[in-house]
Amino acid sequence: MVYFFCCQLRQSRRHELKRLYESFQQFVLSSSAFEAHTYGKNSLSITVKYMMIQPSQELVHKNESFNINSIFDGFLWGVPTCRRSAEKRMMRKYGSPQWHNKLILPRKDIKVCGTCGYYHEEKCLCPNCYSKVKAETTILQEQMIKELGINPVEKEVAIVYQGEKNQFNDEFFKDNKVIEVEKPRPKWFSKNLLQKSNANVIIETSTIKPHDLG
Amino acid sequence: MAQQQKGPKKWPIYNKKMFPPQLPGEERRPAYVCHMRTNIKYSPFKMWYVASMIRGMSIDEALKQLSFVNKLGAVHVKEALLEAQKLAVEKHNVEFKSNLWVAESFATKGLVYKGVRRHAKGRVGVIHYFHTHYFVRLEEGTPPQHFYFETVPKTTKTLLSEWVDEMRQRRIPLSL
Repeated sequence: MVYFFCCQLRQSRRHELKRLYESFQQFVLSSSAFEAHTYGKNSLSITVKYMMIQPSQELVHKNESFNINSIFDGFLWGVPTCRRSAEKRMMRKYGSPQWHNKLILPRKDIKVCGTCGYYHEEKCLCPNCYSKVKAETTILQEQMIKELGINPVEKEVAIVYQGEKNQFNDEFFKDNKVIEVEKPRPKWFSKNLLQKSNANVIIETSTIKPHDLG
Repeated sequence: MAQQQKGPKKWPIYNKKMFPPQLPGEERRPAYVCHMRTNIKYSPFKMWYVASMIRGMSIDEALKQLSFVNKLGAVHVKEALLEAQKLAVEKHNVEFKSNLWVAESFATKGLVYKGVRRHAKGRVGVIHYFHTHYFVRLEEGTPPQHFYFETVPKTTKTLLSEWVDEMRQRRIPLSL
């Protein structure tokens, strides 16, 4: 099959392939990794026992130049061909500002939170403040689930903290679904935070005073 | 059991070094504290990046930066720095805990456990489970302006001389 293929090609390429095939034959016959038999002029049957990576045994023909790179033709798989230079090694380890910087540079976008004094990223909320808000929210949500359960919510839900019940009249308790929470109101949770912005809008030219501040 | 006793021991001995009394005109020797954390389950090759980032920074700046580094090693380094800061104030006569800077910060290879993995065609590969020792030395005082030489901004004089040298190095190829 290989001989027929050789006939199709130019002289130089044919010699190269023939040399390759002969060296392959030699390697296969000599090595114990394969069980090989030759029959006919150019036929070779091989049964592979296990693969071993060995340098090829090149046959140097008379009156033909030997190309050193031919030892890599098909017999040294997955193995480095050139030693990595110091420059390449440095680039991989340290990177470069122009290419891909592997060094960890100090960040310039870290801000101090005005409320708690902890650090946070420029574009993000302060995680310390957020965790406090989140903790309070979970407490309120648990209380809501306890009282409402899976029933549909038809009225507005109003949260009343400890000691605030007196401030509201009976009408308030009728209009809204009141959920009483057994803890004092946190200092940072002012009442106007839960006010709806589009409810009862009175368009007047006079100044509007803030009401129900916590 | 025996492996737990293995590890570096010489670094904290620097803390016990006794210096002779200083002469009247001599510059005050700054207080320092050497601290280490041994056998952290992390690769020393990866720890190098974290350790090299904080060199020459003040302790507050180092702690701030480490909080925002997305690496496991940064957590260990931050804890080691906090421990060292505490030691400095309590045992090494440092007045203010903020008046410290990172003089030395490096990581070395610790325990290495070897494991085995499978490859295709019945071949076998070795896996290395690295541990790392992290060492830090905090010194009292303000940090230097530029710890790394590369961060020093080049003056116009040096920039000009470098440009002139580059221009003079040019050659016409294949000339005599």
